[in-house]
Amino acid sequence: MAMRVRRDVWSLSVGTASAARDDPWHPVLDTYARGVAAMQSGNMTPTVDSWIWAGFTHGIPSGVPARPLWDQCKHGSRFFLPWHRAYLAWFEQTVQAAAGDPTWALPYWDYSDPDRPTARQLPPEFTVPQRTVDGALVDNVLFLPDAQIVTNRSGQPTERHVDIVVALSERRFVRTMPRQGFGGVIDAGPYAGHLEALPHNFVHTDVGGLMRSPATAALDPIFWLHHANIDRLWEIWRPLPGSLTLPDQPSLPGAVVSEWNRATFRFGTSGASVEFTCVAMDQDPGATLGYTYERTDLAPALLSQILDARGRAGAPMGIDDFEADEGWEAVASVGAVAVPPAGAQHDLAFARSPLGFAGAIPSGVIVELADVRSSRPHPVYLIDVRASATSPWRSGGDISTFGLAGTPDDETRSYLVDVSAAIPALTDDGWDGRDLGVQVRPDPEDEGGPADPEITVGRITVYTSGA
Amino acid sequence: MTSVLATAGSRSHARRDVAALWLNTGAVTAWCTLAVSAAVGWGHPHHAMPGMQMGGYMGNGIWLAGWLLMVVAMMWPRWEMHVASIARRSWRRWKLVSAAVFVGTLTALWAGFGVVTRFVLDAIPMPRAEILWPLIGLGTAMVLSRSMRRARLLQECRPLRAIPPRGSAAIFAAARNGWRSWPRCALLCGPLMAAMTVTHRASLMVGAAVALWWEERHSSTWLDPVPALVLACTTLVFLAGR
Repeated sequence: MAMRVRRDVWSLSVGTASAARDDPWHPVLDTYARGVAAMQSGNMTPTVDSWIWAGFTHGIPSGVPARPLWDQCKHGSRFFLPWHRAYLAWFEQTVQAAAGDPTWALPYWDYSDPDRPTARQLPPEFTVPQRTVDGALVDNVLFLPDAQIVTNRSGQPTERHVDIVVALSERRFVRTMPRQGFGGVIDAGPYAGHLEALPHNFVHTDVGGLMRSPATAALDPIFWLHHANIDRLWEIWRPLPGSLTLPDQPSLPGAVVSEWNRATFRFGTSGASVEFTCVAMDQDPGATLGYTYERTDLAPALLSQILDARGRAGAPMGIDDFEADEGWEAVASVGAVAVPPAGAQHDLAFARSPLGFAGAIPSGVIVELADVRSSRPHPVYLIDVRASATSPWRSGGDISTFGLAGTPDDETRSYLVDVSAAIPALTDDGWDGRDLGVQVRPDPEDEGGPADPEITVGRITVYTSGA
Repeated sequence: MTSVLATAGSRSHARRDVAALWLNTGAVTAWCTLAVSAAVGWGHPHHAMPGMQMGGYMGNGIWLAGWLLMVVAMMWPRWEMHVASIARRSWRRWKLVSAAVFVGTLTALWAGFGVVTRFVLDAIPMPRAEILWPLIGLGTAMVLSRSMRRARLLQECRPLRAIPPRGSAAIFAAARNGWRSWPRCALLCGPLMAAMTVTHRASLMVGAAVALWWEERHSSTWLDPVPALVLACTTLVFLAGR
């Protein structure tokens, strides 16, 4: 089997909207469009090779009757990366069959490429309503008129929303809540790992439209290129010095490793399904799935930042050289917080000083937003912190509400925001480590269309670490 | 300063694990108690002792005690991840309290399940009920273990809702989380647990416990054949020992 190469969509693009409408497309994108058209051409009854089936396998909109192999997306899960790798492989096979090209490989959208000025823009093949095929203008199936509305004012994902340094700087695949690993969190709660939180969730909400909700996201053709890039970032992370895959991590609960080693992912119908093992997905996809990526190297500036961050976390980067996840404690909490457009502010007194004696400044602070509920949230919320009621607000971090929009009203999401980077500024403001102001507010830079007057955060909890 | 920080970290780790430690200690103790009771000839209290049908207070009490021991032995290890999560969200002095309320709620619901199931099964005339009901339970569990919908349910771990770190609100939230976790637990384990309201032969208990423990530990495996195989072996051993 010849190795297929997943290529950067911008290296395949004709470059401009007029060329995308009038000129022939690169064969990879042309095959994708033909495959999508074939998948969409059936009658209204979903079949296993249809576009609807592929999309509903990820999530189903309210009111659609569930089937056993639909609505499977693993978000806020340690299985986020391996499940989506298997999902993409299954989808790729479906497109190959639909387009009649078994050599076709899904392209990826590298929105974080610092060397390409247009990287964050949607390629024009996804933005023109029509294209020319055999001399005639036809509808472009890769374009969704109501879906690809980039929600912020710049018309493309914000630069900080496609940051990959935070995710790639994390050396462990999983960590124990309230810490986030690269690929997931060990807890009974649904917390995203670093890569899922950023850039994955932010790109979903920045693209907007169908992409804003897991119930509809996979019905947008750009979804698959976005996830191919997330999958590629996993392949970039793996060989970085100090990266530890889940099975290689020491001292994990036996149940976590055992579940990982026997997990399987299934796609198709109850009667005829395709199964992938998690262990196979956690290996070089060239060996297990027959594809590789055009580029898995990083721009020197990005690589330097990542290695610096990893080094700061504890050089040398051996297996036994990881700072512990233990030592984190919940120290302050407030429940039932309504967040209006103007934001919500709470000054929270710590139950005790983090180290048990007065005057200690914690080395880490994480804010948890638990049970956030809204059917039409703003795309992004900012979390600010302050040293006291009279101190200025300092930027702590942000969350993307992907997964919150378009889900049933009783469904909630929870988020972890590491605000430790704000500690030096808080200290400059005279912070004594005994209390902390927390502010949650919609990002004024984002325009996500009509939003709820307010969202509800079930509980805001502050965790600190002295270690 | 470094040593102070390290000490603080390790102490905190020990505190965090204490709730899960209590959970597993409780399960091991329950297993030991059941094993001892079997070894001294009680088998299961309500079967070995005369007059232990549901009508007698004494019998009912002993039956309920035996049932609770079974619930503790078989169910508590399944809740370790949730208990650890609750402990993480609680302040030091409330870790055990919140965890205990969560576990207590689920245990109480299983106790109620046992009483109602036993009452219903006793009310249905069935020849050789002590053989047939367990066989029906085992058979149902085996068939369902090959069901796609059950496999989906197994994968859908209902996440905990927010738990305040202390106070009465923490107690109510822990109880509410136990209540929310119960339907999934009952749907997954109901047939096997129902079988054991009638008899808890050691072979049946061990087989059922292994099957349930295994599938919870591998809840992301589609149609895992191991629990079905364990239940098939358990059925054979049960039939051989009747």
